[in-house]
Amino acid sequence: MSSSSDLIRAKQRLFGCELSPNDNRNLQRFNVWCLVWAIAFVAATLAFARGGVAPFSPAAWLLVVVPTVAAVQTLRAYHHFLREADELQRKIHLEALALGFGVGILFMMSARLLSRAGLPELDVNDGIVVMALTFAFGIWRASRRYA
Amino acid sequence: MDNRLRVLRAERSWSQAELAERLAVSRQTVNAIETGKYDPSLPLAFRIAALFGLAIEAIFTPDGATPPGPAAP
Repeated sequence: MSSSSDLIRAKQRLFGCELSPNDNRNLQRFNVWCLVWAIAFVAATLAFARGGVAPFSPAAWLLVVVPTVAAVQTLRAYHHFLREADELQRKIHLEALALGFGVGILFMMSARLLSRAGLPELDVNDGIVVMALTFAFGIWRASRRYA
Repeated sequence: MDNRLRVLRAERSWSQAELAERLAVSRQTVNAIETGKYDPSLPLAFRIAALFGLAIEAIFTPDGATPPGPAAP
């Protein structure tokens, strides 16, 4: 048995989820696109922050299009994973998506009201972070429940 | 829902992983079904029944109901 297989199995036991080889492959593809998207997004953000990119220039459009294309590919990869996934994994992910989306919306709506009441204004990215973290928690919680 | 999946699997000396492979699902799914934490979808229930050569009702029963005999349809 290879050490990478042992590592995957150990990770799956830790998080309480066990993926079929097909699901593992599809999820790895999704992870790769996530990474590409993250790198492209950060690079584009830094490039804009540095300045020197003229509005509506080809460079500006490139900095927008590349992360967007990566984002679309990430969503397609995740959609493909969900469609092909083992039915229990699909249930786990859909439960986590519902939780992440719900908590994220609740957070952003509440944050807006709280800022009107005097608390500091939050950035839209804060809501996205809350969504992502809640989704990850949802995956962990549902995986343990069905373990 | 109650089920006899563990018993049927043991009669054939299959591990959960082997049963999962035959059903094209993950071992976690098989374990969750056996422990009653998860009820399979209808297509999966039919695949399970076909694999063991039994009627669905001979494998799965509503909670608390008495399972019928293991006769195939």
